[in-house]
Amino acid sequence: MNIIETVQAALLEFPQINSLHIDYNENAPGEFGLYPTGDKLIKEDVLGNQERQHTFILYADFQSFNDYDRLCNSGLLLELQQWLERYADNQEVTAAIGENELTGKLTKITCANGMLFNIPDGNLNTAVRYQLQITANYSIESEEF
Amino acid sequence: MPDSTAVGKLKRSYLLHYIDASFGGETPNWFLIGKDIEDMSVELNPDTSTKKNILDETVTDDNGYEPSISADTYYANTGDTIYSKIKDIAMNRLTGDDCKTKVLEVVIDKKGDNVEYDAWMEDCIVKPQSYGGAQGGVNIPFNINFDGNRKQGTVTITDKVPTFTPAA
Repeated sequence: MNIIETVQAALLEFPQINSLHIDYNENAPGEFGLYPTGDKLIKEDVLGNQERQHTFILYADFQSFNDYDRLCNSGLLLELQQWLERYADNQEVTAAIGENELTGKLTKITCANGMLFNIPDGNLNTAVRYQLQITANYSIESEEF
Repeated sequence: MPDSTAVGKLKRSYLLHYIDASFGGETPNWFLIGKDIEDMSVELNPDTSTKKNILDETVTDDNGYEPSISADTYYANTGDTIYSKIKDIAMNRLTGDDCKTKVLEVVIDKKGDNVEYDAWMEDCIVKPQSYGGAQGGVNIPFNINFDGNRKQGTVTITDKVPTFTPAA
């Protein structure tokens, strides 16, 4: 699994996520969408092994009729963040480079900015959208030597 | 005519350093060092001195080299063949022959199938410098001090395992 699939699989293991789209959200309570926003090289060692970082935004639609709903929504994002930050345990990650498939490990997940992002319909009678920014650090081992 | 086996400018990963994780075993168990290290060099530490004679000429005495390598990051990993020995040296404060093994240097400056790379093997002393470090892993940086008995030869690498053959 590449890093996007790995993070997708991690999120689907979270008990309160039942429906997770990629780059798409249905505007209905309980819908989640994972939006990859880019990958970058953090550092490379003398053997050519790379440490890379992939960033994501998770959008989550919740109902928001009253303060109780909104407290639950923020509480769920907090719970998800703390759960994700304990998830990374050197799970295998792959990267397709041309005809080669390189392997690596998921080393760390951190999250930030879990907050209300948008009120799509302009009122609180339908779903409102929250965001959680996710950063996944992973290694890719050199194919040489 | 250009040499079809030459690699041109060498990437850093084309200079390889292995140490024998068997530490004196009959069959060397080469462990490639450099993982998690962004900058590593063989410091030659040339020992020279200059003086002026009565003719005002400068004379240089060349006393050779005292090479060493500083592997400033080694994250302890039970899956590494070198781990148990590094732990033993560091935690039991081993000295002398207990720290002695071999270092193998390989220069990958040719390409092709079944290539024999230029290589040098030498005795060395492995000395952990500290243990602990920041959050993220137990770091045991170590130095490799070259200890003579240098031999030139060639290496073939099969499935990431080098085999050294001394020059005749």
